[in-house]
Parts: sequence; structure tokens; C-alpha cells
Amino acid sequence: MYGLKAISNNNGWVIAAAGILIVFTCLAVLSLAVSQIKVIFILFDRGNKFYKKIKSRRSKKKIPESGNAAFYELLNSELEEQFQLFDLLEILDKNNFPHPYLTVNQLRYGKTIIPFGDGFFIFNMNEV
Amino acid sequence: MDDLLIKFFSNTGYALMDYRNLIMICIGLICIYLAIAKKCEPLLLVPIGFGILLGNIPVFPGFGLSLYEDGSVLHLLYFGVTTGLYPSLVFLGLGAMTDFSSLLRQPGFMLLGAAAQIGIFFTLLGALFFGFEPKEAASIAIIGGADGPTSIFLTARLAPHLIGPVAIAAYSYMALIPVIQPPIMKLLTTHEERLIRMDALREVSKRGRIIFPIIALLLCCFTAPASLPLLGMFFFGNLLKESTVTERLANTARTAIIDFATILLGVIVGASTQADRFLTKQSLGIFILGAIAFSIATASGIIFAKIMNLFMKQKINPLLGAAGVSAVPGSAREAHLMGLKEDNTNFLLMHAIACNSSGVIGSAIAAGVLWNFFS
Repeated sequence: MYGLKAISNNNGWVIAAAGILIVFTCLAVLSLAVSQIKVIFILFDRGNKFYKKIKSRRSKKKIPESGNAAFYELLNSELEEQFQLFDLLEILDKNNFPHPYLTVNQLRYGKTIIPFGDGFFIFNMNEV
Repeated sequence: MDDLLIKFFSNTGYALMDYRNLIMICIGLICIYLAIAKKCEPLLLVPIGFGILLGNIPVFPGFGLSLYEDGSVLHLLYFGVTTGLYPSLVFLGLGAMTDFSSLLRQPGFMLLGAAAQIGIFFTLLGALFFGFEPKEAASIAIIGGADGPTSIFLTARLAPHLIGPVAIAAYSYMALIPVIQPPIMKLLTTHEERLIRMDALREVSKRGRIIFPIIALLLCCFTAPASLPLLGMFFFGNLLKESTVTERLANTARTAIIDFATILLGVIVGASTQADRFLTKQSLGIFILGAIAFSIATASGIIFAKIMNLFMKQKINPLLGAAGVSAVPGSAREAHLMGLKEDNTNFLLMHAIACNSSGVIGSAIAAGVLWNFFS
């Protein structure tokens, strides 16, 4: 079969029109998406900044200064009556204290914690 | 003894050859000559030319030597063509080579890549008009995309008996871009239009380049899932490149893998052009329609750029429309060179590359759409 009849019989007109439309739509949508990528990045960056801000605020709140009532309250709640220095270090580290080893040293030499024997320590209630 | 010699002679290529084999061997030699002496697309024409020689040495049927005989080595390698394996691997390598920065800077140019695909669908109508079967017509029409691997991929799916002529036509027109495109560009544009300068391109962030292949894959393949084997590999290759953490894989894709696929694709497509299958009236029709498809694709890109200029404040140089066909980077180079001829300070290359990249995506989508309609 030849000629326009062959085109019509094989749905040529519809297929050609639909094909052109699909290719155009696909690339137009892609073009639109690409032109909006920067908007997505701006939103993402804002969200990231906001998240960091909140995170830093929270971490600031969490760390009481050593010697504060909150500091002893935290240790008291998490430590047994008799504890090892390792346990103390672990708690300080877990709660993001800036210098856990220095703090332990300070507590020891200031006699805030005193040896109880067998590697265990207790709080010196006269100092606390 | 005489019988033995006569039997041996009757099985040699000299005894089995006819004039059509000689014609094809001459075509193969011309391809090799153009590639080596004239440096005309050597990476394609050397394998194809040699493949034509390989496919046109007459062999005795039943010996399991011919490409079309089950169990022959060439037939096993032909599997990569008929299944679409080699074109997909070529697209993986292309993706790992392609820099979409210029397209990301000018996303509007994607419409020029889409416009250049109009040639495909016009040629579909032309091929149906001249009496080709619908699947054959679709395979011929895709030549208008000016993309060799895409043409082979679609033809292997819809009309495998036409792989030889369609592939040779597609690659020939890609090699003939400097001959075909400039007259059409000159005919459809005025001197003033060719002088239009384009704005300097802005920077594109690394994040933008990483996210593009993912967004493009999702958008294009959800719309035209049949283009998945080509676009999937294309965008995967590009992600390997842009992510910068898989540099080793990207390097393999753009060197070893694409070279491997190009060698096998070229030789096997060349070998598939056996004289009795290639030298037919149908092949002549395919070459004529292919040339028409390529010309319409070029023209529709230019005309669409001119239409866009009617609505846009910042005018587009219509030469860029011609780069919307997916012959990378040949058509972009032609648009750039034509611009330079008119004004030697007007550099259009990066803008033309943007249209060219979108042309690759557009022709793969068009192939997917045709496969979907005709499968």
C-alpha cells in the first residue's frame, strides 16, 4: 500500500503527532525541572542551616559547666554510689563535655572524688 | 586429485563471488580510504569498512561461517547488535564523556533538541507514504535523529533485516554533516540572524551536575520507559563521571567499554551488509529517506529557534537549532564554524553543545516512543 492511504491505515498521522508531543513534553518538563534545581538547593541549604542552628543550641544546653549543681545532678543520676574512673569518663564523653580527662583530673586533685579501694571511687560529700 | 582440487576451488571465495560482492568490497575499501586518508570519522569508518570486507567474502553455505548462520562466530557477536547490548554500552561510555554543564546553564535549549526530532516523525510519514511496513518505516525514520547507536538499537528491535542499510545510512550522514548541514543553515537563516551573539554562560554547581542525571533519568524514563536501555546507561555513565567518587569506573566506561562496544558494533554492522541483503531497491529507498530525515531534522531545529525568537527578549542564534540533532559533536561544530564565518569573534560552541546534548536525549526518547508504538 502506498500514499496517504498507507499513512492513514497505519495510524501514521496520530503516531507522528503523539510522538512529537511526547518528545516535546518530556524535554520541556526536564528543562523546567533543571531551571528549578537551584530553588531546591536554596531550600535544602536553608533547612540545613536551621538544623545546624538547632543542633548547636541543644548541645549548648546539654553541657552544664563542671562544678555546677546541674553537673553534679547529672553525675549523680547516671553513676552508682561507687564507680570507676572509666565510668565517669564515659558519662562525660557521652554528654559532650569539652575536656573529659581534664575534668576527671580536676575532680580527683580537688578531692571532689576520693578512692574507695579496689579501683573504685566515691564522691567526697564534704567537698560537693 | 583433480576432483579434490575442483572441490576445493568450488568452495573458495573466487568461485562463489558475484558482481554484488565486488561492489560491496569496493564500498568497504572506500570507507577505509576515507577514514585513513581523509580522516573522516575514522573510529567508525575503519571498523565498518573492514566489517563490509569481512561480510562480503563469499562463503559456502552450511559451513557455519556467515554472519546469518546459527553457531558462527560472527553470528554470536551479532547477538550484541540484535539485543541492543552494544548500543547500550556505547551510551554508557557517551554518558561518562558528556559534560551537561552547558545544558544546565541554558535549560531552554532542550526545546531545540526536541524540535530537531520532528524530522524523525516527518520521515515516518514519508516512509509509510512510499510503502514501507510500519516497523520498517519507524526504523528508517530514526535515522533523522543522526544517532548511530540509537538507530541500530531501534532497528534491531523493529526491523532486524534492515540493520545493515539503516546503520550505514545513519553513520554515513553523521560523517557527511559538513556537507549536508551548512547549505540548509544558510538557506534558512539571514546574515543578521547568524550574527546574533549569545550571553556568557553562568557557572553550574557540582551538586547541580550530580543531581541532573538522576532527575533526567526519572523524568524521561517514566514518560518513555522504552528508552530505558539507552537513557538508563547514558545517565548512569554521567553520574559515574559527575559524582567524582567513581572516577575509576567512569574512566573505564569512557575508554575501555566504549572502545570495546564501538569496535564490535562497527565490525558486525559492516559484516551484516552482505551483498544479497544490502544491494536492494529497499536500501536505496532507506538512503534517500535517511537523507530527507536528516535534512528535515536540521531544518526543524533552525525554524523552531526562529519561532522562539518571536517570543523571547534575548534572541537565540538560529544556527544553534541545527545542533539539536544528536550527532555529537559534529553538528555543534558545524553551527560554531558557521557562526565564526560570519563573525570571527562570535563563539557559539558551548551553546551548540547544549543543544547537541539535548538532541541525544531527545532522539533516545523518540526511539523509545517509536518502539512503544510499533512493538
